[in-house]
Amino acid sequence: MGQVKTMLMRAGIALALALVLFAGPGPGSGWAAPMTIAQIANYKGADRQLVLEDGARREGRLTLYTSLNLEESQPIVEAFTRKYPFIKAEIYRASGEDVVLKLITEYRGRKFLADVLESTGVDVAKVQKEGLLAPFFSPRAGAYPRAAKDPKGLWVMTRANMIVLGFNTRLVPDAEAPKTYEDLLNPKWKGKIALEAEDQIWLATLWEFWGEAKAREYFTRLGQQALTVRKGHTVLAELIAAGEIPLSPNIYNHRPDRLARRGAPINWLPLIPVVAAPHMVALPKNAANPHAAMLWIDFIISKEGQEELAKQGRVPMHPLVGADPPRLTGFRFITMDPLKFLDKFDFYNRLWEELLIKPR
Amino acid sequence: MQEPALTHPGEVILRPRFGVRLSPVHLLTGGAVLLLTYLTLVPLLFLLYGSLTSTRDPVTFTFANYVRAYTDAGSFRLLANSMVYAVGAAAISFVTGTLLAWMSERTNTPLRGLFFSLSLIPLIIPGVLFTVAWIFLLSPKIGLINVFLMWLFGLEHPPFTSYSLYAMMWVDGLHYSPLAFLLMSAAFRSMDPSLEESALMSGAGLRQTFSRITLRLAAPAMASAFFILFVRALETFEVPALLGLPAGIQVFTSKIWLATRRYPPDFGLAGAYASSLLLLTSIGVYFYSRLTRETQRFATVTGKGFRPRVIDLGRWRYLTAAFLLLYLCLIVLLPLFVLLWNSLLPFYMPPSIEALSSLTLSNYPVAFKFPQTVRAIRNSIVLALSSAAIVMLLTSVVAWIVVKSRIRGRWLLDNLATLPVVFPGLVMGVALMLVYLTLPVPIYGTLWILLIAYVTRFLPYGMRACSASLVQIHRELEEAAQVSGASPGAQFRRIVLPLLTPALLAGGLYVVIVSIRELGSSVLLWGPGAEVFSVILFDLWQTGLVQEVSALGILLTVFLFVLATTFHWVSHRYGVRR
Repeated sequence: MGQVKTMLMRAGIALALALVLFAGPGPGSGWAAPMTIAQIANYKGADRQLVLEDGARREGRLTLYTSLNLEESQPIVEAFTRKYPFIKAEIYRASGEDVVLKLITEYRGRKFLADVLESTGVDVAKVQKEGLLAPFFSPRAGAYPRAAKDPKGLWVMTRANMIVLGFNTRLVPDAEAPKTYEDLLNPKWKGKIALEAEDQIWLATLWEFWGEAKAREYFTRLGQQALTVRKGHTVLAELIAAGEIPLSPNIYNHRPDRLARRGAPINWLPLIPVVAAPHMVALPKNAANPHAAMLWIDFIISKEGQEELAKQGRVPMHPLVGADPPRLTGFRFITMDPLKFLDKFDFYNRLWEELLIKPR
Repeated sequence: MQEPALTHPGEVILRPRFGVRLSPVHLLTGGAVLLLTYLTLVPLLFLLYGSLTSTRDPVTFTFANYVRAYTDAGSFRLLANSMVYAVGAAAISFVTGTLLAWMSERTNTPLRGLFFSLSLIPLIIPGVLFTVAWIFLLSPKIGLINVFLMWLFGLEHPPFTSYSLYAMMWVDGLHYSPLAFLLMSAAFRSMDPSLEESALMSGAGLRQTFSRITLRLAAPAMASAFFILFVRALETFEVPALLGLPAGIQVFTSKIWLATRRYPPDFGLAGAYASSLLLLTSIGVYFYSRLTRETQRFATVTGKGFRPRVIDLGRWRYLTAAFLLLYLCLIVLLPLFVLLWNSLLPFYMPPSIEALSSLTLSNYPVAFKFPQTVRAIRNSIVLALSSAAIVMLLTSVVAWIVVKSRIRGRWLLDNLATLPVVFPGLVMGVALMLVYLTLPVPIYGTLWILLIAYVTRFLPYGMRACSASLVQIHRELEEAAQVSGASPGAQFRRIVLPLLTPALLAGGLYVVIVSIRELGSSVLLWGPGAEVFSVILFDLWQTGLVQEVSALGILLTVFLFVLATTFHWVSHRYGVRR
């Protein structure tokens, strides 16, 4: 009896060892060490696409943290899942600053829910400052100019929001609408202009472009125009379309186009130079589904993904993909380095409050 | 052998069997105390701890958060705004509610039966929707009321604006006036007419009777109602966030919310404001409980059936009926109409012939296509049902211990279970955030933390329902069971529980309705996959998807109305007949 028992035990151990060694995780034929997120994100081998797809197949899901409106992000995600049907993608959408705040708070609570982050430059810079991003490599990023990519490989620009003048066509006929920044200072617009509550980047970019003297004089005079302040660029556009607010220089230009297509009496004009607020895609360092995340990043910065963005009326950053309609980018625009803005945020916020918000 | 002691008739004596020190009921009590302490005291402790420590490592004890909170230039205005807002909103609720209660209970105004049922509708509509509807009505240039009045009287400037302190007081006051109505109705209904009749028979006129008898009898009820309305107004989040912030008016709740959304996240500051708000609400609740104890002194309910004296208004009753109808319009019809109107438009337009031709149903399916929406509906239902079940289960046991047993320390259970009344939703949210971002329990941003928040917040409602019902269950029934040899467990299961069922159902349905409306805690604790319906509405509004908010709002109102009607029917059908 004792002998049989010992034999059975040995057989059992051998079987277990065999299972562990030969049928463990990995592409079937051997025992492969699981890759870290950093390795997956920076994998440059020839079989990169295969490795990513295999990994994504095993992961099966993707959680996307984005500030892109749901009406627009959903069709793009659907295009992605048509390409990779084995990935179940979930969108978590909040305003630019909220989505990164959620991510930062979640990391503090040791909850790693976000796989990919896509938000405004300033907000991604916040996450970068907290040290929560991982550098990545994507072959698709080669098409972008150096200015559109982070030097350390932490993000790539995906789209830009052009901050233009939006106005209600019934209250402000096309012919009378302001054509330059200076026109906004005309006394006839007193009490008719609204600003977005947190558009310090607009002030900061113009301040850097014009220089302190001209900028200070301009914004002081603008502050005397009995401004209204509302939170949310989309809200602002809706209020203009509804006739509650006649005009605002803080409108993202794709929104009035969308509303006008539905028949709303709203139009927009670029005030030169237009401030462009870029949006980037980044990889959180503890992403739960890194293979799927990399596939998404590849997709959104590829020509295919950028064309989907353009179809939704957004302004894509890919050099070879044009906006639809083309007039969304047919003007000169300026941007500001997001990290620099973040570092000088308190300075610009104080100016914003002092010159524009308080005098109301 | 255990002998039931008969020296204290009517109470359950729990002597341990076989000399063992701990009986199951002692264990149960101990377990309940531990659970309640964890749910109610731990958040409070973390809140205070979080407000008194620095936000960045290394963690040090400091008053800096409070200093920052109160040396800010606007801090006096913050306190002033909060108090003025709360008092104003409470006053509007109180005056409206009392007038209506008086008209409904003490006069022969026609339509008052119908009015009673309809007037409760606002209590089930989420605050977000009610506020949004009033923004549509009072927006300076496009609000329906302004457009109408400007057209009617040929005015140049809109008479009202939704973005002012007055509008905030009006909207919040109106939203909670049904609560005032309920409280004062109960007070008026329970007044014994014999006191007034004896005054009249002694020669006092109607006015003298009213001022010297009726008013005095009602005074404690009125004062306590006012305090509870004041505390409610202090706690409100939706109105200050949606109406106050665009106007630059800050109150405690909006300041707390903004503090949690700063970069870098400033939970210490949020904690400092939250603790201050907690202090204010505790003071309010303290006065409220003192006054309700006073009310017992004036209570003249003797168990005899009676109807309070109804005053015949003569011709004036048509005026009061008109007033009732006006109130119904303001509180139910207009808001629902404007939401419905908005839900059918492609983008916001005031009513006009042109607008009528653009009506479309497309907002409804669009709203449903958002993945958030479906997840939120599912989560809200799951959370509502589970929190109702847990709350009623826990409070039935706790209330039984408090009311029916003689365990020492049951006063502690009672106080712990009703403690959450002082926590505004937002404060509870901040406290729980601090707890679960510090403790290594990774439930932040999941449904679990929301469940904990809901259960903790709604414990007092469950306690009230269960205690009130348990007190009415006559002791003879339990005594009879005890004498026949039933253990306390069997007594509970076979006597108390079946008789408690109506209270459990009513309390449970109430918790379901209130948890679907909940926004204060949810707005801070939600995460992807753990969205709830009220947060989706709030978020969609903040994003500017106004039409979709209206569409979802209408659907939710219909659903809640059906639920509340079921509640009404169930409590009628299964209510214990006295």
